[in-house]
Amino acid sequence: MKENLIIGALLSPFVAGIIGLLPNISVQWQKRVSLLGTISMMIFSSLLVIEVDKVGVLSFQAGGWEAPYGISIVADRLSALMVLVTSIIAFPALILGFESVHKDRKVAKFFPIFMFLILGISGSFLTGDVFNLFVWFEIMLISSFVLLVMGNSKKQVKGTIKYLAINVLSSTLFLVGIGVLYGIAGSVNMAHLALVLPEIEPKGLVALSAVFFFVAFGIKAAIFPVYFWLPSSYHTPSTAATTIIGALLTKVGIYTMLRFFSLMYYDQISWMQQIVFVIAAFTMISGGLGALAQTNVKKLFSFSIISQIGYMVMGVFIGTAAAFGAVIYFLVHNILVKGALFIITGIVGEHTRNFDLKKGGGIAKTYPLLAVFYLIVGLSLVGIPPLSGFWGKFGLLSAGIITEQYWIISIALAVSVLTILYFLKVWNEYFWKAPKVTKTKRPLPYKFVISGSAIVLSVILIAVFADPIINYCVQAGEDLFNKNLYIKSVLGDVEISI
Amino acid sequence: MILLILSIGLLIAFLSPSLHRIAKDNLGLLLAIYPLSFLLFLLSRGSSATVETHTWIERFNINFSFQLNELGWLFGVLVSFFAIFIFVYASKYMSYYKGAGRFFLALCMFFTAMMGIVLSENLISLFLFWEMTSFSSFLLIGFFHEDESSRRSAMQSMVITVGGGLFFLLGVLLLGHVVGSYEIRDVIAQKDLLIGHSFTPYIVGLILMGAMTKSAQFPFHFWLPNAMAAPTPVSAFLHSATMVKAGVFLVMRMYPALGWNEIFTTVLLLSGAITMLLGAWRSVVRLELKAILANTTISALGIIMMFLGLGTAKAIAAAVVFLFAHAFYKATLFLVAGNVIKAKKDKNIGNLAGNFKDMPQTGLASWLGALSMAGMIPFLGFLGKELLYGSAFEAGSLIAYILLGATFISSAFFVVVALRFSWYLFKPGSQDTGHELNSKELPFGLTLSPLVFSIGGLTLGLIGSLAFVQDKIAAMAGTILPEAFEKVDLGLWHGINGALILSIITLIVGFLLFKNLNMRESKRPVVGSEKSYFAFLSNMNKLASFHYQQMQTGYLRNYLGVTLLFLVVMIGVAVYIVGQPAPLNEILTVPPEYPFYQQVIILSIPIAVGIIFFTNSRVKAIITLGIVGFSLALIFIYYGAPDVAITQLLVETLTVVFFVIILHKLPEFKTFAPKYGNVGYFVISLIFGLAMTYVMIQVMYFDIPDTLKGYFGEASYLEGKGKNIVNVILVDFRALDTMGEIAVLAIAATGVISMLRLKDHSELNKSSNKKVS
Repeated sequence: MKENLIIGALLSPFVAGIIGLLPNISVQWQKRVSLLGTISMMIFSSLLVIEVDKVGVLSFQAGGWEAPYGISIVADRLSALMVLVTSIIAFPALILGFESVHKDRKVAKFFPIFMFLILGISGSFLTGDVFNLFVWFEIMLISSFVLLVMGNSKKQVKGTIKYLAINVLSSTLFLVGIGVLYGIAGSVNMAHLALVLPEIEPKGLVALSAVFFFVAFGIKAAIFPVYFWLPSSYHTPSTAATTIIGALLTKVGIYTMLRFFSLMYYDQISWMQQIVFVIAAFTMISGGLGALAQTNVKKLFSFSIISQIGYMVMGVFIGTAAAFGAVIYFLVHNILVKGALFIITGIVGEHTRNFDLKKGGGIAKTYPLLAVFYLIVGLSLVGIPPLSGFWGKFGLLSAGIITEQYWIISIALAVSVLTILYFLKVWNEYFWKAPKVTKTKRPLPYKFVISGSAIVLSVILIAVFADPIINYCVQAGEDLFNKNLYIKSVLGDVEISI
Repeated sequence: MILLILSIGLLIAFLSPSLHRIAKDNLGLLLAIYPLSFLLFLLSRGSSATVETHTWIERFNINFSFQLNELGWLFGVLVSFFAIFIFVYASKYMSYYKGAGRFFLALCMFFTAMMGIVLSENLISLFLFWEMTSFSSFLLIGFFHEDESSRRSAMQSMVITVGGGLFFLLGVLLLGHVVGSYEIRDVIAQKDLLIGHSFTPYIVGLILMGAMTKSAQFPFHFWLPNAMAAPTPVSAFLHSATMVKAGVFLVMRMYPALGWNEIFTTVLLLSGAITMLLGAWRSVVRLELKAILANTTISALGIIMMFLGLGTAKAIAAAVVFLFAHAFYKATLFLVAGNVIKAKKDKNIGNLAGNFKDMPQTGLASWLGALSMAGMIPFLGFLGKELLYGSAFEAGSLIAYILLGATFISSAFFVVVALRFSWYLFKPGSQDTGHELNSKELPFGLTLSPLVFSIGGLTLGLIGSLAFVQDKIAAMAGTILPEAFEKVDLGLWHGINGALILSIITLIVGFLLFKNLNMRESKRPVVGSEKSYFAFLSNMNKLASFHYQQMQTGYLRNYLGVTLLFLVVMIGVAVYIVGQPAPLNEILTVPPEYPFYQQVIILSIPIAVGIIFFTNSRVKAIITLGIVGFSLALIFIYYGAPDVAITQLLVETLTVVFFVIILHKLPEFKTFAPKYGNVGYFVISLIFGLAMTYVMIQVMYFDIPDTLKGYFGEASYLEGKGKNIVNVILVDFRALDTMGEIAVLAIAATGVISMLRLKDHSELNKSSNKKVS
């Protein structure tokens, strides 16, 4: 019953969330339960990764209703890894939240909702059913709405309205896509669809359904030109919420795109490829330029998320096993590094009560530890070897060279210059520049130190253990490309005619 | 072993801030043990062809591999020798400043990286160290980071060198793709694969971009003079003797693989020549001591690149010897400049005539360094220049003579600079009167290293003809081009020949120029590439803000409009490329027949939507929206889904009721959009509606495969024990979905409660009277 590991990973945040929602439970206990839930999830998902790496795919049918009729829950290498990374980033974000979330917000169930957000994200990674994915998306989105608006400040409400409206639109398109898909294929089980879809005539119908998913996931992933909601809202809530939302939510969009276009819609890549590359190129450039224009550090890194999303979309649509593997590594790298950037600049911002680059300065002198943290993480983002960003870039570039997609990888490389520019902008303004007003140095709260060290350590570790991690990711990419393992695990020994 | 030493080096680097607390001002002396032991290691090991390999990323076939071939070994010896005395110098020098810990962190990291570059056998591990030098250089240039100009220079060098590194990386990737390995020896062994390959011009161009940005070649030369914002030991070490030579090293290292390529040599020739003349001219029209030297460095790098581009055996031999000569005298002069600036607290050469009596030891070093720079016999500089001239004579082609002329001009300017650093700055017996009297000679720690370097240049010139020195240097040249081995001749006297005569003329012309050229500052740029850099930056920033304002207008209606249009365009593209599922006219030939009551229902929906569009009353809008919902419910009933219809009715009723309750609490409805701005949104809505309709009728045209329907029909009663299929699906087959939706409701409720209960702690209270847009 190795499948119980999957249930364990999902139940940990779920139970923690439910306990936290009980009436009369003190904030102290909400914190403890959430921490326990996160740690337990981390343990389960680590075991899951180890187990999946042995057997390839683990799956079970919810309620025992056989596929494709019931709901399949599937953990392949990709899913298991994503869940593990989710729990890894949840930990420092939570610790940060313990210190920085405003007292009222904690009373208002910040931590339980945080747990539900983690649940929704993990569920999205683990489901093998298109409609069930929609439900996990709902959980994820509603929790993120609540976290974004919690605190009720005017700018939060303004940002959240945009976030809400556009994401509800995206969910609607997703739902329409499911409707169309069901209309043409008569199934919502991913493995089953993987078998059925390539057979369906006319091809135009399948292409239409693919468009809905591409746009719906594109909105979630914040691609150009539908990313508006992200920079409008991400900088408004508390840093802990920004961290977890900023690090993970767009990546769920990328994950689903990767899953759909490797498992079910693989033959759609050929006609979409060049168009998507144009979109990806605009996403990289637009995000990079957007970041350069910011003076609020949270907003700056929100735009940076967009820029990096372009790389991943490009990788998904290069469409080879190597490219999938590279995207997977890039996802892991980006979740951790983006989370780390939000955490570190968040610590600076929360501690000095200033997120404005123009007003900031002098951090390298007053808090050298944070400066070192920022350098490590920032250089990872830029892609300086041996840090993780380099391998992400390396994998994507070499996948692009092998498939002869020269123009898009040239753009990807050129956009790195923008990344350097905004990385340096933050460093110069926030860390190196002498502050206009010298404030007295207050020691960092220990929770900030723990949170920052934990995330920076994980960023360092994925660089140190690059070899086994890349090995795992490349294997995961090959699994996605071959898909037989996945289909067999869900449907049993069916006739596979691909 | 090499990997181990490098790792320990990095560890030492990261420990230096802590060591600083123990060693205090002697930190540099303590840390000098590190380059010293590296030097001893290299000397004891000797050069060899053995390759040390450690697997790094197995999947990508990338290793940490190192070798001690002649080129890398001798470069390594040179770098570690310099490092020892730079560390010693810096130890004293940095005791005047705060932050020696982080200074030595970056310096140790830099030294390690530089050794990594020269000893790497794998191109990817070389790239790692390459980037590490850029980064540590960035930290060192920005050492005085509270100065704005310091930060700007640091950023500039980082952008140029790391940006160039990106090109380099792409070149390496393409190279690896063609050759199938990132090991340099494999690349060299399989260079035939490159000949005639369509990638080769790109590979060459991209790798040269890396080398030229690092070695400050035109048009990327401008970052180097600005890098003088760094403390003096850094200028001496990184920006004259080692880091900027990394580009030269890369060209030398790749020479066996790419040297046959004409693009490779032509670019080196052209850019080298321009760089050389540009740097030489600028060096005589600068007054700041370090800026003068920085420009001569640029010029010298140009000379080396140019002679590598010329590519004859003797030219390469000359480039190698000149590289050594330059390293010794340039490091000397930088340290001299640092000492003068430190003692006199003035960096303008115009105010600094005649310091010999005040600073005799620094003066001696300066004289020795300057004589080598001028190319005076018997210094190493003389040998270098002899060989340069000689190789150009020997090549004999038109290009070679043009190069010869250009080299002659630059050398004459070098003589001018050399005289300014000796005759002018340290005229024997002279006494400086312009500065404070206590600006005396600096402590031994600061005079030792320049003396060592300058004497080194002299000694090498004298013992150059000894077999073991000559063989080593010749072996290094031979690694670049086997024929060059024969051509290294470090004898001081070759009889009276063209090169010697030209050398003498150079000295005379240089002396005349020195006498007649006014010492003046002219910052008028000869070429505008630095301007282009700043223009690039500011345009980038302008573009960024413009783009930001265009994208993030702040209006939700714009965002939604663009999002819907995006979907429509994507649908259009899909239909255009993949083709229509079924031709539209085929579908429309059989219009479905609707009974009259259905027509009423269907028509009422667009009418209701139209009313919403034009109404100004919220209540009206909500009620008409209700009409849409109720009509839908009726349609559901018609198609045999009464339970869905009931749900829909319930939801609609509740929605209308809730909205009406809330609505009268809201402020009066106002239109914020421009009067006719709505037309655009109307068109977008229309197009979107049409696109969705198109998709729906296409989907409806084809039969639904009913695999699931049949199963659910049977199993819900037999296995699920329920008569209502929908119910069984909801609570049994897909119970997980239902549970998820319940969770959604719980979270939403929590959210609503928290919104109602929480008071805004910043703005809302103040602005609650204002209208919310």
